[in-house]
Amino acid sequence: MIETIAFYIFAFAVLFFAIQVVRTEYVMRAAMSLICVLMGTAALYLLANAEFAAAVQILVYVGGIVVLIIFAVLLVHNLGEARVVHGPVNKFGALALSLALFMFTSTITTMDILLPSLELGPTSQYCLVVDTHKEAARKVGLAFLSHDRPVNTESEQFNTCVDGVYGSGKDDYHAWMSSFSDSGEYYDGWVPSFSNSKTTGGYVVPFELLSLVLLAALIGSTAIARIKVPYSPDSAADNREDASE
Amino acid sequence: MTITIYHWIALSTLLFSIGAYGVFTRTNAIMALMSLELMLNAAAMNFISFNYYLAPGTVSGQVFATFVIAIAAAEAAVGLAIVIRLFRSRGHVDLSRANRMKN
Repeated sequence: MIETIAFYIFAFAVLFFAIQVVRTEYVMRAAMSLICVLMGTAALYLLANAEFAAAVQILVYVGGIVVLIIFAVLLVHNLGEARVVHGPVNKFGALALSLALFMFTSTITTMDILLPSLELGPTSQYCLVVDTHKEAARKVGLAFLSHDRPVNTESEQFNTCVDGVYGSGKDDYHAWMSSFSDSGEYYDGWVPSFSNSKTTGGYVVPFELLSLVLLAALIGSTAIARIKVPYSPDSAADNREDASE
Repeated sequence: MTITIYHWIALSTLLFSIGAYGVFTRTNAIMALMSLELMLNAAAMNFISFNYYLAPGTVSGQVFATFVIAIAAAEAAVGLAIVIRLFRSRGHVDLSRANRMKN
């Protein structure tokens, strides 16, 4: 019950500040609202047992990206002080387009074919807290460092939780688990993998590739921002074109 | 009254649509980038919620959310570098008037 209330509070806070981000006329206020959105999202991640992602969200997003945005705002002359006047845009068209996007995306995402046997998902019904925080961090670390090692759930913890919290539904859980394996059987600690392999695999190769991508992007952005370019403001023809619009 | 995955999908899709509205209406480059961050955040939230409901006990969703966040960091760095260079050469950061890269 407390999770439900917390979810609604954080969800409405996130949506409110997101609307602030796209509505306000001041850049710094938009950046502050963006911080609130990202912190609220981190709180929601904590409700979804994703402690590692919540920590990364706060460290990288709030501590890195938003600070980068604020630096850019301060480097661009006067942008942080004045109201931002936006060019002529069709707001009703944008609203209609984003509403259509919302309808389309929510319809596609909630189609039955994409959400198989959702009502049997163990977390939603049987157990809210599977991992201790230390255990969750260890599993994420193993997933990042290994390329073929199975990342096991701590089955005894899970079963204790299933028995202790709700006391029923264990048969449903077993049916749900065995529906993912070819033979219909599974051993303790096996994690249902959506491929046919019995290991969930690790992510060391994508992780290293991601490091390279990030390094290349940072070097490239440094190169882009450091090159001295001559100041050549818009020609009179451009300005006349803008004025006529 | 339990929170189902449909609540999460509704939240992340609304967040994505709000970000899309911002990208459509903002002509200031930095504010458009902030709206883009909202959209990326919604995508990462989908990874987390699907991990929580469809594959509990695994960490794949968190790993992919971390990837999304890192890509967002790279995107923000390159985008803001372009914004700063645009401001140095043209004197404004208006997307509707940024129609040439070279001088």
